Amino acid sequence: MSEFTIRIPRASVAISEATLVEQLVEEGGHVNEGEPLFAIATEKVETEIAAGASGTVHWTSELETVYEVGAEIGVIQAED
Amino acid sequence: MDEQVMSQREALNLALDQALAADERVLLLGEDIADPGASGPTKGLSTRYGADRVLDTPISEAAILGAAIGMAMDGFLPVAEIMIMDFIGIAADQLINNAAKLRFMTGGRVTAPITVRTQVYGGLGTGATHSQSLEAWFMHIPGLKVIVPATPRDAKGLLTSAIFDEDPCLVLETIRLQGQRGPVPLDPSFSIPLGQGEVKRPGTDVTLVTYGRGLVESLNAAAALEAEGVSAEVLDLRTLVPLDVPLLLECVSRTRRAVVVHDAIQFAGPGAEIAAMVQEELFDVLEAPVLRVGARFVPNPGSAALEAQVYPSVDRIVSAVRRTLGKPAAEVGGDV
Amino acid sequence: MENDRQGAAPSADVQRRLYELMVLMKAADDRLSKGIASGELQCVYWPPRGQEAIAAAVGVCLRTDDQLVTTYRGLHDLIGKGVPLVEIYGEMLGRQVGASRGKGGTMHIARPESGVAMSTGIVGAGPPVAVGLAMAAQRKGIDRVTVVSFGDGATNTGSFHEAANMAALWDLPVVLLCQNNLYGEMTPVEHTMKVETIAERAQAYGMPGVRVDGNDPLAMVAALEEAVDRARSGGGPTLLDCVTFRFRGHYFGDPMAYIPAEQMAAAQLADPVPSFRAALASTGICSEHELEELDQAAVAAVEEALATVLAAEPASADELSRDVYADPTNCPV
Repeated sequence: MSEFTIRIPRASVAISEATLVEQLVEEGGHVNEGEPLFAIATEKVETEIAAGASGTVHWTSELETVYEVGAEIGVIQAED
Repeated sequence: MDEQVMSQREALNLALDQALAADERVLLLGEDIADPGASGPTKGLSTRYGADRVLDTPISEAAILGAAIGMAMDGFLPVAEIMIMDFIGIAADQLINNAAKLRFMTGGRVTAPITVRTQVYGGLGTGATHSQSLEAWFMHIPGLKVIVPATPRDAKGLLTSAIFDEDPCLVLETIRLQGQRGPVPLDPSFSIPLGQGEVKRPGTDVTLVTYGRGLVESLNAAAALEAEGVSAEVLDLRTLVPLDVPLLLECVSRTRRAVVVHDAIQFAGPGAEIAAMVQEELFDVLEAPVLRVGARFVPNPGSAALEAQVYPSVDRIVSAVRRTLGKPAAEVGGDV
Repeated sequence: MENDRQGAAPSADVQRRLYELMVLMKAADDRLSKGIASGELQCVYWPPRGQEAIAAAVGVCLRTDDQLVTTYRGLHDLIGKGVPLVEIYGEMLGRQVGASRGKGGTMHIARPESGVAMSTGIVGAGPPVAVGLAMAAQRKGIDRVTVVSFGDGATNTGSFHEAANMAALWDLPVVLLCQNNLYGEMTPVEHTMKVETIAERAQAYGMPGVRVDGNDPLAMVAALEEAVDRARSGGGPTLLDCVTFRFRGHYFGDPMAYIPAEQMAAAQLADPVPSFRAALASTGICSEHELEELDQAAVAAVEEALATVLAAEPASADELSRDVYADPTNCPV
């Protein structure tokens, strides 16, 4: 059972933080790699972020909260 | 004067927008400042004012500043952008040997009222050549003004003053502060006089003298110190040249202790001049030497984790303040 | 003048090597881009995806001791010149196994053992340094060539013009390799210069200028070989205007609002990696099985390198005060 850490991505060069605005897969739900997983808003633009792995999603973050780039906001429990 | 909460990037955008609207002499030039490529404070302006007043240029920093000087000599008020402060070395000759010295060298007959906006990318893991804070270089050049706003309100007020100032002005915008929000006056005539500092937090035991991003760490440090029963005043200089020495001396003569905080490298940085001035004027009033908390004397490492250790932190500021309070070394955490 | 491949095409081995390099560059970019986009990998990145043919030609035409000066968009150049992927990824992701032990970062990877003298972060900063490396070779009387890679935007910088003039003036063994991806950051090249092509600028310095299809590895090899031979034999510098495209914008995350959709679509149709793959299959130089093996080997090499890097130690704190001076005594490091 490997674990993929979900982090706020480095969506562009000039940002150091982003707001988590949407969790597109509910707690305990399943996601496939490449499918939309969450959405973040930086000061300039809102972007959808794809899952980096397939598995069961567990969030460790709150919506409408500002996170540092790279901050952990959940995990994907991959069923191997 | 009605106000609106906005980000610092939006406040800078509003200042540029209102200057372009208010005065035909104003124009902007720089790399990728026009739509659709623009992403910073100039976004949207070429669409509103046309590509000849918000002019995309080739990547030619020396020529960008030289051209701005030539237009300024002939009655225009150009606002040139040097995208990232580390690139300013390429254009330094135009700034240092032409813009700064024209008024003096021509006995006042020729002047170059240009504004140069540049952006500091420090603290974003962009490495040694895309992160530097080089304001100390330009403080050393008679004829140049150096402006470093920290809040959205100050950004708008100071940029507006710089654009219409008769002397060449260098405005440093800090990328890490671009997203910070705050109330900003909407009136186009709102401006903050250059050379006027502001006490951003009152206090009685020590004065944290700062500017730019240093304000954020200083306010956090002041809050931490309050929990220890230490009342820290935070003085935001806002401009380095002209420098509000009267307010600086008034504050420190009251608290009798001072720590200077800035993101620029501490060695031979702006804090060295500020500390020297304070100690020369207030030697017999000071309870302790003026200390400085600035960046370490190293090129910024590529790794963001390492880079975080380069800059002033709340711990380093608090430790410095404890030292000025004569607290025993044991209580002094962190390396100062 | 457009360079057409008069000479014989490179051997089958060389063509296979070209594809092997190109598919490794693409795999390295694909994995990095996927990792950054999902938040798995945290680093800044200027993707060269789409410019692989140029870098593969550099890899094939240069000796190990020949020098390369490249830029912040140099992942493909570094792979072409033989820098191990662990050192590239390691440096981008701030690990001790990085080429500079995690201190230089994405934009400043160097590896003297592979002839990579420097990667520059400031546009136009490379050409003058390449002039110096070429002067050194000339003074030592060795037939070592220096290639400096830069984009179309760099040809509007003062330092490029100064370097080009000196290179021609002193017949220096240097090749000015312009990876002309048609955009200087967000500005189309035709909005940054009056002349039609970058190649014609060479005349102003007194050196040959050649416009090449930067997406055709065989055309690139032909043009680069000619320029390298000219430099190696004392015939002086050449300016190569290699027309190509970059698919992921200026920096990773660039929304690319400034690129017309049809231009991007047309460029992707001419993607050098699948195009060359198809050419190798149709000319029978490689079987589909061999191509499949090369593709999988590239992906495997990338995954292995990334795994090594992600398991490696981060850059250590004591690196901060090391390499600022040779001997920091009395320096406030």
